Amino acid sequence: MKRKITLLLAAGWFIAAAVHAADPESPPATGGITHAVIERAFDGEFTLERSTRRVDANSDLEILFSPTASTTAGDPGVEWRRATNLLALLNQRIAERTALINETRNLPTSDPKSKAVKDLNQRIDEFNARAADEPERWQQLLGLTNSAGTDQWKQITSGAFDGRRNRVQPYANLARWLTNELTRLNRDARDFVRARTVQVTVQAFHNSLFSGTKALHVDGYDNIASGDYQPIDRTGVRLTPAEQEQLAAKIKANESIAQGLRELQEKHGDLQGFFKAELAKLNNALDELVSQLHGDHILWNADLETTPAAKRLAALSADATKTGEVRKAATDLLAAARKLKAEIDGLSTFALRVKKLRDGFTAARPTSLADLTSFLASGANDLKSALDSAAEALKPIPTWPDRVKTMEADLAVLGAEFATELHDEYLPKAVRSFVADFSKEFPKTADAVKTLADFASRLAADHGDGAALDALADAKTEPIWHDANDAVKGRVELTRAGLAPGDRIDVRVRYRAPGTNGVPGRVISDEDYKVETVLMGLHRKFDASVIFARGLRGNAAEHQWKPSVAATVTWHYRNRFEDTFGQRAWNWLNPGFGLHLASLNQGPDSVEFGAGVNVSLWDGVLQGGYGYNLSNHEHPYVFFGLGLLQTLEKAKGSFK
Amino acid sequence: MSTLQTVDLASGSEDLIDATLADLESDLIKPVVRVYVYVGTKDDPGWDAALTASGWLVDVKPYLASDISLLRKWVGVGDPKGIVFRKGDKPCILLDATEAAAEKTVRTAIANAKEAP
Repeated sequence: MKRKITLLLAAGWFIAAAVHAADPESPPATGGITHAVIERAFDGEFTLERSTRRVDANSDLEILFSPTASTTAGDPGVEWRRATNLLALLNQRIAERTALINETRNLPTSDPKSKAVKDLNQRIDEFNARAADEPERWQQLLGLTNSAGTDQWKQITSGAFDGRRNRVQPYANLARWLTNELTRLNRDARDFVRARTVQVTVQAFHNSLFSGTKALHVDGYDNIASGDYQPIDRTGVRLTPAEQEQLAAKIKANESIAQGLRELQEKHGDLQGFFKAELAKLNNALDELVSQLHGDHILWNADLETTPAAKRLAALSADATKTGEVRKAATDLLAAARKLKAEIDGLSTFALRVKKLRDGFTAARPTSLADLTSFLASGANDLKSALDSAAEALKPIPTWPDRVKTMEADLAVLGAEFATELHDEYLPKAVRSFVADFSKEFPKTADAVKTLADFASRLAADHGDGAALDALADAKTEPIWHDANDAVKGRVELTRAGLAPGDRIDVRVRYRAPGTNGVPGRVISDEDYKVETVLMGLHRKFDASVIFARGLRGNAAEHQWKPSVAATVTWHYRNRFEDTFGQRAWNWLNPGFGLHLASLNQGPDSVEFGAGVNVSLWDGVLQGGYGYNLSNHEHPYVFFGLGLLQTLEKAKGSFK
Repeated sequence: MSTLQTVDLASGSEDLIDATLADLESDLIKPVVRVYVYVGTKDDPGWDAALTASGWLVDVKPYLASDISLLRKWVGVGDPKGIVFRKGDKPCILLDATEAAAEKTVRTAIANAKEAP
């Protein structure tokens, strides 16, 4: 026993150490746009790296997008800038010209020697002097200097380019042409950007060891319903529904582990024996199915179309000289027999498939769980197909006995019209007896089929990457894609995720090429942020662990180390930053101090409770405590515990 | 029969309207004015240049004269195709057919026309 405990401790230490090893990754480049994932928590805002391993369970995760500095997709180009600048200058000239014309019209005097007239004339001269040269400079600027360009320039300045010729408005004509050009350039620029940009979406998943994987709502990127607001009580003892569920599941799982350990301790049983017994059960289930389904008595070979009995019934059915009662009995009998035969034939097909499976199982002779898994995996399609056909074949069986009784009643109605020797040909005694026996045995068959189906579905269950896809399918929603230049902020509110500390959150930022003709573009890259949700700073933690408790008083039995289960609440402090050795060491050790309630097995009572104080290391992987057995004269006890589930949970998270 | 036409710049239209010598004389005594008279027809490149140059500049009143005889009192002898006026009854610049057909030349001539001292 001591040796086993030492080995378990060593394994726990090794795994806990591995949990804390970081594996930083560098994000792949995504042209034109970049993103940042920000954790907004009670103690500040923090940028997540892909190597970040933990976030606060009460925080919001925000995904922000921004164009990269080196992007060329959004650059309007020299042509666009030139046209824009020229249009601005033209508008300025038009305004100046209009103002001078208005001043001329509104001159207060006609005296040519007046200051107002001289001044206005001077400004008009200045304008005109500039206008004497400017149009040619603009023509050159627009690259319309060769012969064809000069023709085009004339078309533009005269307004003929769009059929609105008015030669006394060259400024307005040129401005209109430039506006059209800018519209075209803008459209070209948009097409250019669209052709080179990417689309983005954000998905988030909540992964719990106890409740599986589910898709979470991301503001701006899906229509999944947002959950209820359920922040985790940071230091108090109030439990959220998710925490209650997790604690109950942990207690149950630890009970099961403790029970197994007790069996090991008490019966010295071995795992090989357990698997052998389970395999024997499966073998027996297959044997039973085969013996029930594959008997000669259900091979009903009668041809219900051409035999003398069938012909006689058909004749009776159509004979107008017979009474209506006789004709109806003959018609019903014919139809009922054909239907029953079709169903029994279906069952025979199923029986043959089960026999094939059973023969394969016997030939493979699996002696371990690995062999069995391998055998079932190789024949997984056969098994699934057989089970599918079983569902159809077994459905009508409960109705058989009543239907056979009705057929017998119809035979009685026919009486002398249908010779007794034909009865056995049409509804053989073997079939009647099979129907009676099999219907009686039917529940057992159905159970055996269900056992097999459950086993097959558990083996086939996808617990890997497919879980996220299943979660998305369950959510029945399509992600919303945004063009990169129009990407909105995404937000995941962890307080609405229904999570418990220790659960994992996966945020996936997915980039894809723009689609064409309604067909989505290919996925360019996925950037995943996989983090464990924890509580930062001072916080409490509810947990359940297998403990080994030993009484400090009483008889020799009470002094034995016995496996039990304890529910604990411990207070911890977690440094958000691990900049110094001290911070890293503290977080690695992750000590906790708290209270526990344990189910014990020390005294004569079948149900014993103990309560006391406890300390823990490595986030509960190793625990020790002192308490009093409340059901056994308040004898004191000590315990040490191994958080096997915590260890497995962390190992799964770390090595995923 | 000799005719004189002009355009109504106030309306922003290039459509020709009939004018008289009195209209021309009236424009020439305005304190702020540049007058350009083209001698020819409305389909001549010279008239095209006259209209466009007027559009680029400020306060230019273009006239289309069908015959130089209408303008003898200002130009005397000779057969110019383009005549630039500033205030007063002396033409500032005279352009021949080639010059009058070149819009840039017409524009520059009008812009450079100085008022008589």
